[in-house]
Amino acid sequence: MRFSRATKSRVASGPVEQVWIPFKRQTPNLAKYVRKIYDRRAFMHEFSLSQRRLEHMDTFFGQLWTIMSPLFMAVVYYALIFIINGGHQGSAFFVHLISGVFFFSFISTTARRSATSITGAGRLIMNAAFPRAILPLTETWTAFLQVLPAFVVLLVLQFSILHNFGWQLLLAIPALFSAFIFATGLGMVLATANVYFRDTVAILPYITRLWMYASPVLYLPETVFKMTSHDWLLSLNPIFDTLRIWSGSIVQLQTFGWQTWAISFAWGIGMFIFGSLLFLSREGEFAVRI
Amino acid sequence: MSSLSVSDIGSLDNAPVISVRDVSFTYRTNISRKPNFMEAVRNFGRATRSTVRIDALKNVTFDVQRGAVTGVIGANGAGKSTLLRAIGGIVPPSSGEIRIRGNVGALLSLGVGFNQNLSGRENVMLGGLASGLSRAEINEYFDSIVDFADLWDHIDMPMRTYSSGMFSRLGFAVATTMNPEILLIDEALSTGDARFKEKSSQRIEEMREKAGAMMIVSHALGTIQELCSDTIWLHHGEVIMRDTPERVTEAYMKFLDVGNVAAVMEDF
Repeated sequence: MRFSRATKSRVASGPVEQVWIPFKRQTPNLAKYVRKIYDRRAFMHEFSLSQRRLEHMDTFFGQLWTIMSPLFMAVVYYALIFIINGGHQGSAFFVHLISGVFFFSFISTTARRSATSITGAGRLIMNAAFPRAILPLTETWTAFLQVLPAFVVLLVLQFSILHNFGWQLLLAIPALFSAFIFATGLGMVLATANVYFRDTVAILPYITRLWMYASPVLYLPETVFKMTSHDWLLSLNPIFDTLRIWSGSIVQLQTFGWQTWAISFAWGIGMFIFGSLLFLSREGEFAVRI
Repeated sequence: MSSLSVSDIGSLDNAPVISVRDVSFTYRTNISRKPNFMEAVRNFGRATRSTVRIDALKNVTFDVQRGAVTGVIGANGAGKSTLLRAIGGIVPPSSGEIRIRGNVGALLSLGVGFNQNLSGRENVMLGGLASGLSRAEINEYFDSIVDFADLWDHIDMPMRTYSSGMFSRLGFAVATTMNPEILLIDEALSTGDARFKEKSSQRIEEMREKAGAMMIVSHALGTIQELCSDTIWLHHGEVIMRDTPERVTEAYMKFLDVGNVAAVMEDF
C-alpha cells in the first residue's frame, strides 16, 4: 500500500510496474531502499511520537522521570563506590559517573527497544508493505529523544560542579554521533536476532549489565590503562573509546588523538554497516517468522 | 522489502495489471510458538527439526486485466490471504514472479498500525501514515473519516474504550481513505452494525469504480457473485478453477457439499 509522492508522480505519467521476485537473502538496492524510508519519514515521526506519548515522555513529569531515573542510578552507584573505596572520589569522578550512566542508558535503551521492534509489530508487518528497517530506526530515534534531556542536565551539572568551560566540550557531539550510529546498527542486529531467538530480549538485561561493568562507566578509563600493558585489548569493547572521548571531553576538557577517534568511528560505522546488511538480508523472512 | 524491484515501463495498456506467473510460496515456521536460543541449542546435532515446511501457494498462475474484479474463494488454509499478501508485496514469493502495474492499496486487516492506548484521533493519523497516506491527505480527509465512522463523540477517547464494532468502523474508514489503482480486500467487508455495513458496501463500490482492478478474498459467496467479474478457487495452495463467479461458487459449494443457503452466501 505505497502512496508516496514519488509513486504518485510516476503514476501520473504512466503506470509503474513493480516486480515481486523471490527473496534471496540479498540486500536490496540501497538507494531505492533509503528513498522508501525517506518517503515514510512522517510515519516514523508519528510512530516515535505516539510511543513517547504512551510512555508519558511528552509530559513534564514524564520528562523529569527520564532524567531522574539515570540520575538516581548514578547516585546509587556513587554511594556503592563511596562505601567500597572508603571515601569521596572527587567531583570530577562524580560527573564522569553521571556522564557514563547517561551515555550507557542511551545504548541500553536503544538495545532494549530495538530488540522487540519487529516481534512487537506483527500486525503491521503482516498487513502493510514498507521498509521494515523503519521500525528499529524509529526505536533508536525514540531512545535518543528519551535521553536527550538528560544530556542537557549533564551539561548543567558539569558547569555547576566543575565550572569547566572550553571548546573541548564540543567534542562530545561527534562522540555522541558515533554512539548513535553504533546504537542504530546494534538495534538492527538485535531486532533481527529476536525474530529468530525470542529469548534475545530476555538475556539482554544481563548482557548490557555485564557490558556496563566492562566499560569505563563506574571507573575512569585511566584506571584500566594502569591494569594492562595491552591497551588494544580495551578497544575490543565497542564503546570503550567512544565513552573515553565522551567523558574526557565533558569532565576534563580533554582532546584525543586520531587513533582514538578512528577506533570509535570504526566501531560505530562498522556496527551500522553490519547491522544494516544483516537486517536487510533477512527482512523478507520476517513476515513468516513472527 | 528487499525482494522488490520497481521499474517504469511507460504505458503498456493491454498488459494485465496483475500478472502472477508460476508463483509458489513455501516457508518454514517454528513448531514452537516462540523460537528461542535454548531450544536451538537443545536441538543442535539431533535429527529432529524444530521447523515445519508449509506450502502455502503452489505454482499459481493467472492474470487480472484492467477493470476486472477478481474474487478468491477457498477453505481456510487454502492460501487466499497469502496470495493477496504476495501481490501486495508484503511477503515475497519463493519462486515465480508477480508483476503489478499501478499502485496497490491493500485492505487486509482493519486497524493496522493502531494502538489501543492512543485516542481515536491519534490513531487516525498513525494508522493513515502506516497505510501509506501522507500527513496532508489525512488532515484533508480527517473530518470525512470521523463522519464515516460516526465517532465524533469518541474520537478523543483512548481506543481501548471502544467496542470492537467502533474499532472496526474507524479502521475501515481510515483504510478506505485511499485511491489505489489496484485494490486488494481480504474479508474486510463485514464490519460494524447493519447501518455501517450498508455504508461500507457503498464505500467499497465507490473504490471499485475508481480502481483499475480489484481482488477480493471472501467466504461470503453472495458477495463474490455480486461484486466479481471472475473468480479463482484455491485449494491447498493450488488454483482448482477459474471461471465466472456463478460457475466457480457452484462448483465450490458442490465440493463443500453445502446448499445455496444464506449462511454460505452472506457474511454472517
